[in-house]
Amino acid sequence: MRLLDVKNLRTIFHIGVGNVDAVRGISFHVDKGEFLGIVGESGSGKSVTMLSVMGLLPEYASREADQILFDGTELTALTPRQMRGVQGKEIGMVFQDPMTSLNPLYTVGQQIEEPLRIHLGLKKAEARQRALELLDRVEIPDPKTRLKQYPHELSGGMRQRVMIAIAIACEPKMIIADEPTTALDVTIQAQILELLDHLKKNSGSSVVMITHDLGVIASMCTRIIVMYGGLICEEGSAREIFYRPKHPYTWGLLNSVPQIELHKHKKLIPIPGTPPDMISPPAGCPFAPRCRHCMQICRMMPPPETVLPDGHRVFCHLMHPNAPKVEREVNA
Amino acid sequence: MGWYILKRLIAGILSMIVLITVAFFMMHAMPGDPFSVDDNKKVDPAVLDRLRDKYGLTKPIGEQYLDYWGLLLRGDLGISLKPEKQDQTVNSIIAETFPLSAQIGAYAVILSLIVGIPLGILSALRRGKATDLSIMAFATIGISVPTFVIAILLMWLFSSRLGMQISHWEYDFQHYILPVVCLSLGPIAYIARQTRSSMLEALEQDYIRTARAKGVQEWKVIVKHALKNALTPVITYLGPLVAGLLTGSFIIENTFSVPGIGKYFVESVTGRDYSMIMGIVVFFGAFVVVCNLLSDILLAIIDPRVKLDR
Repeated sequence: MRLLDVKNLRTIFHIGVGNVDAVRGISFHVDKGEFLGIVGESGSGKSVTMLSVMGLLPEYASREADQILFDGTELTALTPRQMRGVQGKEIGMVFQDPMTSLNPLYTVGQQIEEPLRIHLGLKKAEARQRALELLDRVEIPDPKTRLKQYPHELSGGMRQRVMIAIAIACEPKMIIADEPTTALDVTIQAQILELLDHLKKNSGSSVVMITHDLGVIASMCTRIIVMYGGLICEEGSAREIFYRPKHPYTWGLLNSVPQIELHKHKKLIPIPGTPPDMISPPAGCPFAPRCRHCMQICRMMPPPETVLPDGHRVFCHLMHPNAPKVEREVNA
Repeated sequence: MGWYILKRLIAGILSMIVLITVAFFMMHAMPGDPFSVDDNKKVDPAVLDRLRDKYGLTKPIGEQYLDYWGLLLRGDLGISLKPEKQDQTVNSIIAETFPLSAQIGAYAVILSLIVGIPLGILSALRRGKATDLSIMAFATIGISVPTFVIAILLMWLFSSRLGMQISHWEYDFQHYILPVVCLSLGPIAYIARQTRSSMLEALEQDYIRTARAKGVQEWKVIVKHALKNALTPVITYLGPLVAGLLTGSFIIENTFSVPGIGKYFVESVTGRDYSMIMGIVVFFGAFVVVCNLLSDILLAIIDPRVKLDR
């Protein structure tokens, strides 16, 4: 069952020097109850994609899509007022930096109670009670004291737990986590990921995890979308992406993930070059200039979609039957 | 909190001591004395000497300084040295004239806030549009044109063109309105600019995106989440603003014939009215200290990150 079905999403930022094509016509879906990972480096359009779905783009951005169907509702047809009924209620969002994502002038309790009062119409005392339960659910010790504290009195990990409590407050059908662990210590990262996984399993809601770190989502995601230059490169089950990746960019990403347990002398292979300039994106495959297997056609035409039998989608000219057969180089 | 206030009060008293000492000696370092001004040229020098004797001006300066502290500690600011004031005490002059200045100043503070803050918000929300540009043009004029120019223009407009009778002071609405408007133009401009820039900064913050992601109504995002954060610099400005406006303005009070305290400050300096100068220095100084303390406390109430006890 599909919870979210996006067709041909395009997001453009209108800035002084020109238009930045942040997302350039992508289609994807999120299934009910799945843990979807969206992976890509900075500027690949992964965050913007989900902000576009959520209707949280800044004023100078414009969004177009043939369809953004969420749980039977066409989001592109909603007024801002109707959209607010989705934000925080149907879709919860956790952001990257818990230091700056909470309002410094309101207590933790006030910030958790806000969506409860808006969407569920709870009275102050009921909302307070719910907030207490939520803090407990995100495993914050001594929730009674924490409720009355201000964000600056909490550690980074605690604040991210509070953010998660806000996101799950109204039992949303989908939780978007935008690099939720990037700003945290490594030890805390694991705890936050575990918490998200735990909450997902208990509530049955879908989670979309945006990250630049394949390692972060390896153990949890059921499906992974790899993005580059505002386009999807490859999409498939976590198993497919990790064990049978088809796109040279995915190869590059996998080769640059450090693996502790393997051979000591294995070297990480970085991807040479820099991401494309999105003000004048390349006509062909955005990864072509950095691709080891780049062919002439790659620079001229965007690669078509190739769907493999198990639903694994690849956008690469190498998938053409007449293309040279290339193998992924493995860390030596 | 209690400790903090106590500490601030002690610091305030220390700065008052420095202020009084510096003002006292600088005042006496000025050439001449209260009885050597032009008006007294025709008076017999012997009479003037007796007057100096009467008010203790012939004593050594150190003794005069200690005498002044003796008076001050008893809450007495002394007697005005100007013969036309007929030995009125400085305390009574302040008690008579300050309430009116404070009243006009308080109205001006309120007007500045209720006009300045909304203008700043509007400007920030319509950034780059015609509304924003006109508000900012107005604000630039408000900050750069001196008060006396505005005062005289308003005087001319209302009195000479619109026929309002404002050449002498009356305690009614039409006499209050011009001095209040004049006094608040500068602060309105300043507050509008400050609110605009801190609003723009606040609206860029991550917690605004969080609020929107929670589905908070747009006006609440602006007022509850952005404005409250944006008001911090305005509150910091509030202390000096209240102190400055409530203590009266020489120019405004002179232009609109307001019998307030503002004009005494200038008159007393030009007339070397020693006890009046000191009285006003002490009074204004204490007022500034208290206003700053109050605005800092208000800031701590609004922003929990401000720790008063440090």
